[in-house]
Amino acid sequence: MRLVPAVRAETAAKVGGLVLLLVVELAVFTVLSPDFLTSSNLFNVMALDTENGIIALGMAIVIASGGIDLSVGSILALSSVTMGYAVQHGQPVAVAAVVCLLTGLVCGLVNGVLVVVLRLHPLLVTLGTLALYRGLALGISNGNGFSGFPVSFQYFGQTYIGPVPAQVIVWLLIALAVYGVVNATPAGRRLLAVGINELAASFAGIRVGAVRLAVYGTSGLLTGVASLIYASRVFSDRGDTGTGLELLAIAAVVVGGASIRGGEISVARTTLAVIVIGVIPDGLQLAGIDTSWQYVTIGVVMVAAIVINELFAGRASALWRRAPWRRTEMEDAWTDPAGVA
Amino acid sequence: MLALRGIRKVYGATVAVDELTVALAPAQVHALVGENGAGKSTAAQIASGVTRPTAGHVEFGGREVTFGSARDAEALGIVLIPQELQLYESLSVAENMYVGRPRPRGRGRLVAGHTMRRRAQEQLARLGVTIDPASRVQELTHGNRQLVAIGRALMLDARVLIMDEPTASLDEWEAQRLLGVVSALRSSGVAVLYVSHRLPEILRIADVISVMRDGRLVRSAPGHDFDEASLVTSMLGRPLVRHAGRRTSARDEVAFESAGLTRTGVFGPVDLTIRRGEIVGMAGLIGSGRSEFAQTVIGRDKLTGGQLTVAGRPVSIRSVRQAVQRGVGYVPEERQAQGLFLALSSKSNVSMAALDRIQSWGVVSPRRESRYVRDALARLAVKGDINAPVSTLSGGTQQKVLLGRWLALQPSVLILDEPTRGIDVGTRFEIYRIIEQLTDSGVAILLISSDIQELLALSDRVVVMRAGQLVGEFSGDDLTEMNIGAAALGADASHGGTR
Repeated sequence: MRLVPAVRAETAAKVGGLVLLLVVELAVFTVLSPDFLTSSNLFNVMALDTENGIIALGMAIVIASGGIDLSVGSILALSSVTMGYAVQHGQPVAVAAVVCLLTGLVCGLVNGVLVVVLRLHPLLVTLGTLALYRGLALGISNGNGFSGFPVSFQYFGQTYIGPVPAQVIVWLLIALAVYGVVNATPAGRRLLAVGINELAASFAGIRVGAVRLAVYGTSGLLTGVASLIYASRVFSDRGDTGTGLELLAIAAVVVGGASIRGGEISVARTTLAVIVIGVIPDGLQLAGIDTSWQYVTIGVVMVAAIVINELFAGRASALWRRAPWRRTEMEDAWTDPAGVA
Repeated sequence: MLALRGIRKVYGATVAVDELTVALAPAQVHALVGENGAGKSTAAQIASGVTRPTAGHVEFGGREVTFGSARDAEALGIVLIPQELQLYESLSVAENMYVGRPRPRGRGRLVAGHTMRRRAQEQLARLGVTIDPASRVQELTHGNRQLVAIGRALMLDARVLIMDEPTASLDEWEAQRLLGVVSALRSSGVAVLYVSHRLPEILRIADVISVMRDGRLVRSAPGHDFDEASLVTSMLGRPLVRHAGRRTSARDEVAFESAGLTRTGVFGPVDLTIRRGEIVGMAGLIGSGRSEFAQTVIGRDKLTGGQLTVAGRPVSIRSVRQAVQRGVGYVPEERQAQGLFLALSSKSNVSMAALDRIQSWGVVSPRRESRYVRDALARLAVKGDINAPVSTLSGGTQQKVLLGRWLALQPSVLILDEPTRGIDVGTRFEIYRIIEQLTDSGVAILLISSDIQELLALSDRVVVMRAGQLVGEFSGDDLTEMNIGAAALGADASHGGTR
């Protein structure tokens, strides 16, 4: 889609901001540790980021549609646990992998059905299924981990093509596919239409419910893919994996500069943001800094990224005007109680 | 008691009110009537201190007063109840009734909730209604909210109550109850300025009726001097204009037929046929069910009975998508809320309903999309960059982009809902020309409009909807403002084709 100059400039500025952040991070970590800026370490970082990267792509789609999916961490756990369950019950790895993907898809579709049919707010639906899927994962695994996967299971998360971890290639292929769907297909147009103005979308003949269902199904399926790669990489499954993953995925989308209110998506910026966030734990570890500082650093980088985005997008003044310590709407209402002046 | 003397109010280049003089007396209901845009609401806002007049002055109790804000007027006991009630929906009835005045304090300066609720209940009891003062406003029906707003006014010891279209969103029963409350207020000495376009209720309740037209007072007389016919004539003013007779493009074949279409509780049964190339106007008041009818035709709302026939074939339409496939289009009334994607380009906005037609192998073809959109917009003389977001375009151009989306689909039946609302005169006539061109190519048009001049200028026939029913159909010599207005308002037409 051709963009007008102003929009193009804004997009370029947002990408530029993320690249700038990444360069700063790389420079700092390179100074702190000589082992950081090596190809094997960087590929390792990418491999570790793959699961979050794939889930963040699904999240970007959900957020673009005007929704949110808090249940991805629990879906990751549940689909890896059902896969382990299948292997334990004598199924071949290929069947177990399909079970894993299907579990993700079904979980996502259940979210979609609840949002579409019962017209519930996605925040509430997925907050509920976050607990539900997590509970199922813990119940099915009996709270125990499973690590009896056959050696062939390594295929999904421990293969290298040359020096490149295979899952990184899978991640980039999925990103390309999502990019293509979002930017070049009718489905991508409808996704943004629903995110921008649901009512107008329905008047334009778009089946809003079908779009939403597809959106949550996609998020679930991509989480299933991430789950497969994750379980193969760590070679085990546990009911308590993936806790807090939803926050990292949402953070990647927002740091990538998409509006949390929907109607926008950028595959490239979301992917870049995953790397910007994902480099931090590795860099700190190599620098010998106590890992308890990880979250502090991640938090600082996230806030910095959001501020940079807002500055580049020329929204800083708008932010300032809306600041909570300034006059709020409610105060206005009470100083003008009839609300008529 | 309260008087407006020689009031003039100018907004930019528009004179909203000019040389208006109206005086209210205690224990009197004074009705202010007129067409949309006659200046009634502006007059109500000036009387209640919401806006200041450009010239002239307001008198209260014989002395000239100047209101800085609505608060100043409320301090004198002049309270406006606007059409869009300004209540805090998530707060309780009692809290709402105390907005604008100090809450009673109990021990330790804490707000005494029970005192508030008791006093609120006393005021509501004066209105003869029982509403739990602890319930939240969002739980109430619109009629009860209206009563809460009146209750708040009584809390402020209102001596002048100004009501702007109080019954516009009420059903029949609630409207009757409200009229009862207004009579009771009058008996207790309150002066009421009653702004409405519902003629039967005005004739019933008003002691004095003042008619406004184009910002001026044209007639003010005791209520019993009017009947419905004379009131309509005063409101419309000009000697009744006959439709000039547009050169019709209507052909014989029926393009669209609605046989007994019903949505229970909303409208119907509606019997309506439109021939190819014919423009059928649909008149009616806000809330009469015209948009609801249209949205049911295109499958957004579920019908509960009746049959649609498009191009001679009975069809069922259960979604907008199916409507598009059957050749029925609907350009919605709210351009920005229901029609456009403001952040997207004109190109995306036009192609959004036709993505299936411009794709190949599941991919939108940029070349076909550009051609499709250029063809559509060229007919509408839309200038400018089709890649620019529609939010940057003028209202008239936005409307043309929205029309372009539907014209490009080449529907056989097109429903236009208020196609020129809020659009400047130049673009308006361009849109009229586009509509006439469409009929030349055989498109059947249902034109829903609240602008009677527009209906007269374009329509071959006009049907009138009132309370979900088609109550009149006018064509030829019967196609007059008088007949349409009378049918829409529920007055008896002096002549014509009322069924």
